Amino acid sequence: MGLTEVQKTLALLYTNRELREKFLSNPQEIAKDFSLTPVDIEHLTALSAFHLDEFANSLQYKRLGEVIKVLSLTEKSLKSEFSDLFLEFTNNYLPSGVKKHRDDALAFTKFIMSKKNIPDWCKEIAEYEATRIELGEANKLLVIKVFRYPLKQIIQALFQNEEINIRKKRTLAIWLKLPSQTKWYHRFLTLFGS
Amino acid sequence: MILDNLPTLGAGIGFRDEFIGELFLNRNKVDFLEIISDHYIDPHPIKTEELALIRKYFTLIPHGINLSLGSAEGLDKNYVKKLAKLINDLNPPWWSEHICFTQAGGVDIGHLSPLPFTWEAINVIVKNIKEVKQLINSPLILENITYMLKIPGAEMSEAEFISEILEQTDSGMLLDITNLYINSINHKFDIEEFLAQIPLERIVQLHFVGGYFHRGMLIDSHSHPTHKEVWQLMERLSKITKLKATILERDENFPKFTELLEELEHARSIAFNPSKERAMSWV
Repeated sequence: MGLTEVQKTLALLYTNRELREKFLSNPQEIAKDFSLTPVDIEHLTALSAFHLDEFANSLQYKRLGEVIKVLSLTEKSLKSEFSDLFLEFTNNYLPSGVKKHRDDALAFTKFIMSKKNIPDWCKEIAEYEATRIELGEANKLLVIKVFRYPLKQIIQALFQNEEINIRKKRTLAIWLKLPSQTKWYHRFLTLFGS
Repeated sequence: MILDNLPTLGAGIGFRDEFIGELFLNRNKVDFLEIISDHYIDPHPIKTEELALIRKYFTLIPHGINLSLGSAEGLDKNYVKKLAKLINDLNPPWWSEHICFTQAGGVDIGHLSPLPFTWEAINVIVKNIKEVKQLINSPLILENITYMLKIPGAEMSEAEFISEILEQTDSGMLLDITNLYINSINHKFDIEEFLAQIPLERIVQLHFVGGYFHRGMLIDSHSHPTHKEVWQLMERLSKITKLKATILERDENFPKFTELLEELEHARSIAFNPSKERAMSWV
């Protein structure tokens, strides 16, 4: 009871859009679902709807900004669709802990790869960036991934805002690390005739 | 008071990976660094190497963002243990955290969230701070946050709330003057009244940076040059407090590093050389 329940309710209102929308349309009714005292209910129902919504939205945009930092290629490939997809993704996923932004980015790449209406080459860019993120935690010296598109050329085109050649060409992405070193060496190998 | 013997560190910057190269090229223009503690808890080996490198050349002040000192459920003991190990290993002159909560009921809010300004919240945060202080050797300084949302049911002003926590826990204050300015704009209060209500002798460090306006609110985005009103506030505080450190806390929309250095130099001239004529006309 008291502050513990108020904080639990606030945490949900800040992070759960569906609950927040229900609360904003009928605060008294929704507040009853929590173990709140009548005074707490009175205080929570007095929250400014505008400011509650603004704060909640700022949390989502903060997450989006952090994810773009590590999925910059995916963001370039999906353009404005990236943020639309991310806002959809945040309805069902909330990261936690000191590596929350990393976990958020990885979960988002899985979400992108599960969507049917995303071009395959964009999904491969997301998968490529997910692999790069996972390398940080990998207890390995060699990682090889096979892609169906010429990622090296696609990445160069994304960086230079050029038109992208989306013809399939099987490509190996290879990451290699020497024992006792933290730096990964990375090369692409395009397989001719594939 | 434990704060009396803290060293004067000067004008530093919040360390971010984005400018590590420029930072080392201009090492003599940055007095110390503030690091985000969470970035070095369960770190990737690259972060461990990075910490060893910056530690070799700079005094480091750990700055926590996820301890959730205001959580009524109590602290995450596993996190506290790791944080304490990091800070005790670094043995800094002091470390800092926020007056806020960031998690409740298993939900990580992902940002610093305001507490209600009530006695119940004071009792909670004081208990949590005392618990943490038993595990961490260096003095703690506490930061005021920005809040878009005011939690109804306040029993006192924000300044009274902060003061009570500082006094009951014998902690220093990290006064974020940008946060203070932003709150004074968004919640329409008088900064002078705020300053009159806090124990100025407990202010150890300042944070400063700039934000932007969005839908009528000033946003704490850490993304713009410092507002002129914030420089004026720093000047005012340099005359009425004994500052030990100022930190430029830029996180987004990074300009050329020279622009950050100019802000540092300006802060240094205001906070630690008040008699020196200003080299630049910022205010």
